[in-house]
Amino acid sequence: MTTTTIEVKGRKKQSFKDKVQEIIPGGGNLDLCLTCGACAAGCPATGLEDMDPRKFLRMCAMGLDEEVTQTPWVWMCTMCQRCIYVCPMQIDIPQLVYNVRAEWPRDERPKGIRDSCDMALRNDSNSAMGTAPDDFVFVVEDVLEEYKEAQPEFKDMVAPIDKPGAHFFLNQNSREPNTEPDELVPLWKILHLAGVDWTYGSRGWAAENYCLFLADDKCWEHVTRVSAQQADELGCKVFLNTE
Amino acid sequence: MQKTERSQTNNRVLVVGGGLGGIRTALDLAEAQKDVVLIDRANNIGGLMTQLDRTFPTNNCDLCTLAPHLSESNRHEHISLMAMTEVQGISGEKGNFTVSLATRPRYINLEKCTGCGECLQQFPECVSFTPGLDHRAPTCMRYPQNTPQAYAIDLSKCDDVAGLVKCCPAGAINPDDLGSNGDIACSSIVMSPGASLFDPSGLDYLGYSENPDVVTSLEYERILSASGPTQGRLVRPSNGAQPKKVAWIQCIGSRGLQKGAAPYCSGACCMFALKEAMVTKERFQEDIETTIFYMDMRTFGKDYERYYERARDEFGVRFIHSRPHSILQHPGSDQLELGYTVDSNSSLQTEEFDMVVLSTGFKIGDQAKELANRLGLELTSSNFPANPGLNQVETSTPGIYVAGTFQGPKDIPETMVQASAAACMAGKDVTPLEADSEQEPLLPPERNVVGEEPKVGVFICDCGENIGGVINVESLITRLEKLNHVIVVKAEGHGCSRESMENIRQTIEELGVNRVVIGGCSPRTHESKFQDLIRKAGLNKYLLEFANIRDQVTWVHGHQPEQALNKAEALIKMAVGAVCESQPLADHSLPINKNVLVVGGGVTGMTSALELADQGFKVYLVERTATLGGVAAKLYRTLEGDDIQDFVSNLIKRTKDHEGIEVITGGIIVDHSGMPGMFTTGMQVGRQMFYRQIEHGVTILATGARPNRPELFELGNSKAIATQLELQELIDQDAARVKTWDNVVMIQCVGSRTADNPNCSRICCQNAVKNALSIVELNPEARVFVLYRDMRTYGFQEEYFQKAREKGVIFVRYQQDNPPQVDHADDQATVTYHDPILVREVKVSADFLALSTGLVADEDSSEELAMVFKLPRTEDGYFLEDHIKLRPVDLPVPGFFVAGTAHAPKTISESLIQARAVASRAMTILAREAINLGAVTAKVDSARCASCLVCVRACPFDVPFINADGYSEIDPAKCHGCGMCASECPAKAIQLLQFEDDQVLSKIEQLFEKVVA
Repeated sequence: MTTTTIEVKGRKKQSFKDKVQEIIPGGGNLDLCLTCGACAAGCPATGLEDMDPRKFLRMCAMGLDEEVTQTPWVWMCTMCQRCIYVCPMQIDIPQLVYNVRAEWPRDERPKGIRDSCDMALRNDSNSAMGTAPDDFVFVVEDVLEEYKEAQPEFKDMVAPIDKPGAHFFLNQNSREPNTEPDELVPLWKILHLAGVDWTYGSRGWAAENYCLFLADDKCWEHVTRVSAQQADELGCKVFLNTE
Repeated sequence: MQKTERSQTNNRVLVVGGGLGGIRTALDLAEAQKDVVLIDRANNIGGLMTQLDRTFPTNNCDLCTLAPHLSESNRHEHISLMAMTEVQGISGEKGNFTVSLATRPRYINLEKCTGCGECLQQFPECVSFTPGLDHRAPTCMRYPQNTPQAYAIDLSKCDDVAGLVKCCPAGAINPDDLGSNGDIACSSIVMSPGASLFDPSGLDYLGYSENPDVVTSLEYERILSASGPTQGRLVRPSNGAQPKKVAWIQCIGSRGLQKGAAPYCSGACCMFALKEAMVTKERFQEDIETTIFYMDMRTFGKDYERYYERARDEFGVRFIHSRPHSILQHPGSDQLELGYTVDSNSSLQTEEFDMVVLSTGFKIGDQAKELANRLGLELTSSNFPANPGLNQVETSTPGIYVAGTFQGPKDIPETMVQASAAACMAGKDVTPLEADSEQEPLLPPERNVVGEEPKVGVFICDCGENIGGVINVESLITRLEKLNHVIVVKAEGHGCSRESMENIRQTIEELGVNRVVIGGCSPRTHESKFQDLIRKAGLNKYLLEFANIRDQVTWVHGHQPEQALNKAEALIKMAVGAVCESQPLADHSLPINKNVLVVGGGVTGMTSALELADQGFKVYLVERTATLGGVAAKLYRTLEGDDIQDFVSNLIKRTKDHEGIEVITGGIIVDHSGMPGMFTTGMQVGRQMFYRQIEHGVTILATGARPNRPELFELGNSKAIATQLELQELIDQDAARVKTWDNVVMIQCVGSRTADNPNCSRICCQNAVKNALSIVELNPEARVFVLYRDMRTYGFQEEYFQKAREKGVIFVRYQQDNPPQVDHADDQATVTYHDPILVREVKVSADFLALSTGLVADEDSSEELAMVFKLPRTEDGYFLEDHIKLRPVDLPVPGFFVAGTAHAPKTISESLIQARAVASRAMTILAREAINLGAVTAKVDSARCASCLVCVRACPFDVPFINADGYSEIDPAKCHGCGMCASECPAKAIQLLQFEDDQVLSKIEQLFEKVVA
């Protein structure tokens, strides 16, 4: 815990917070804190690294840029938005955290998140587990066949991939096709019973986006574009993000 | 009918909304002999206050305080009351409005209904009511003192109309009632329809909709209330058990920007949460724990800080500076879990409670908004009527005024002040009517009871749970029936309800009762009501005694019912003893002098003087210094941006030019005598100290307060350290200097909320915000730090507090026991403070340090004036009003009023409201032709007087003198009835009427009767 006295002297300099304020649409109300502590009271990361959202915001307001941009606490935030949900001033602390993450040199960001982002860039699946498009197609078709046989009441069930003109473009967390393929099925059943016209894409099917959590805007944009492009090419009307 | 002619004219005021504010406005106008139409959309008047249990800061029973006003408004000859009535539209302009009104059918003839309740008993589902928060069977009379005292029928819920009509013994039910529509003409309108309360159902994280143990403050109030769903038993709605731990969460729906919250502060919630917690602690002592979660405790009103201290130190209410995130209930548990964090600690705390009270604030509801639209009023973004300038009760439409929570969030005392101020404004457009010469033509002649054996009737009120909940009224009656001279003892429920009053009257007449004892509440609030009652029954009104078995027995001995019963019996026996010796007395009355003395030539005094002079009264405005303007003359702008210098110079000009006002500058009040309506005040004037006397009927004190300047935080030791008052002058006069500043620090509560001066100065938080905003406007690169204990930007001031934060001003909370440290150089101040969120010290090298030093009572003037006028003051030297809640600008000495900062610290616009309120209150006296002095005066028995001069010396009012016959004489017209002479007279030659020796001795005899036997 830093206990040094903070010295305020001379002309105000532009701070990190001022910069973020310009980026966030509407500014994020970053100056409006009433210090009520509602955010800290509901944050799963409160108390970690001797930090909480209120303190983090206060440090930004006081221009303690060096400390703010170096605390590993920003990687403990889950981006759950519980803070902004109850904040009387609707202060966008999650955005502030995000922008601090982006300040970190890429190679110093947490390895797990970084590797998952990098993995998604390896092929057009976007999968943080590196699953290739062919593998995904194979798993889906295989599981579908198995269920149609075992459960005759679902013999007409479909799990289309790259179906042109489908209404919904559905994406899918890679964990299921990779480790729990049976977990894919309940959603298919619902869609089937509801008579929904949907499709997966062979490209951009993976729903997780670790590049977002890594605050790597460029890579985030890349994976998002891959998915969006596939949906566009198929002529789907609605992108259904399941993540 | 004599009123026919009146109804043709527009010489009246329409008051919309019969809550406490509307009632006050109507009564002020009516007492000033002006006609009023008072309408309310509900079945009965009384508004929100009728749903409360106790009211702060006195923690008195609410209805007991309100009820006399309700019945007064119903029987006043200048007031026509229209319940179930709404405004449909308006045309015309100030001085000549036509308002169309629609009255819903009540299906009950008010003239015939006796309020017996037969219809409710037989057809409970057809009798309409305002359920409020009642979970129990519907009752249509929300409280026993309902006005009008009548039921209302919901015909749509009735299957057997014929049966319903038949069930009414008075034949009052009329199923063919169509309601009515009609236009009324009026000269001005006062809008006081009140505000709604925020509905927290939309805040899913609080679980209000799902969890019955999460209640709003009003619901909690109903649970505590004797007339509420649980008859005042505090129980958890979920399981009926008594809660052990109750938490309050403040600012629900206030001070927020999302999920429907209002951006302003609702102003009253901190106080009502304190009250609810204190009442809870009072009832359950060690058995219950109360915790208030708050952002800032805003106890800014007069003596409210003391109330906060009492809650904390005497009652043990716990305060946590934190806003819990959510209210959770884990499956299988009946506990409510709150998570919160505290200052200086980044770890999460969780705690379980049995009940959580949400302190929900005020909002303008759709109905009030629609009403405002119908009247064409301009509204603010929060839907309150927009106010064009410094006069809070004005609206965008001349001739339409506002008061109470419809104008802005506020508590009851401030509502009362605004209500009187609105009466003052609205009354300007109306001519007073000749006071009726035969005042009460319907009264029967007084029975001559002199020489009759005393026949005492004793009537006991159970006052709902207040008395009946502690002692057994029936066994009290049995004990009293045996007393000498007592011919009847009866229990009368709520004795002050119309039905009980009527029963008492009948009993008196039928049994020939010639003395009456009321065993009930306080004579202070209810004596005149029962005096009127026995007068109506043909008895002289002084043949009455009160035994206060509520305040003095059940309220204070609630846990010892047996002893309480004995004490109640003793008190009533004493009252019986005294009443047997009482004699009929005649009231004295005297003509009124219609001149006004206003003391103090600041903005408050000048405004009062102008209001009264505009309405035709002669005003003497006495100012101690050589110039008019007071402290306001040193101010430049209000928080809202009004130009004060301009305003003050205009006011001075108008005051000096007004032919009805005589301005006396350099005037020092030196002596005073007389009675309300005929005062004589002496003063020394000018450099030569000429003595002159003024005769006047009322006195208004507007002597102001003094800017404080305590020697704290190095004030006076550096050019860089000054008060906020000096800073605002710099901002206006030396902007170039302000532009050079890099860092500015402000410290709040300097010399306020301390051991020496315990109260809050009220104006400093908004002043700091105002000056901080001015600094960053001139110099956007400047950093401003405001070090505060609680930010008290109440009401709409909150929006400026928000704006200041938006502009980058940093607000940091400090603890009283760890104040900022200041080191100074000639042109610098180094301020070191502890930031409780960072848990670190911060050292600011400031170019300027502004200290919020607030106001203190002006001891020089107020101490002397209090002595000359014999007025009480608060511990901190402000004049003490008669009743903090209901008579906030009336002083305890009749005919005296106080306004502005002589009452307590306040802003200019708040002072101006009080200035107008006192003008209105003064007119209630000035409009009369004569003043009733009562009958309580000292009387000398010349045969016993030894002319020893003891009375002459003892009298604080210099009334007794030795007359030509050689004995002491006391002029009943001048006597204040204080009794000093009577108690001092060695020869027992002086008796104080209504409190004569034999009455007092008889009381004592009754009390000690047993001992003697």
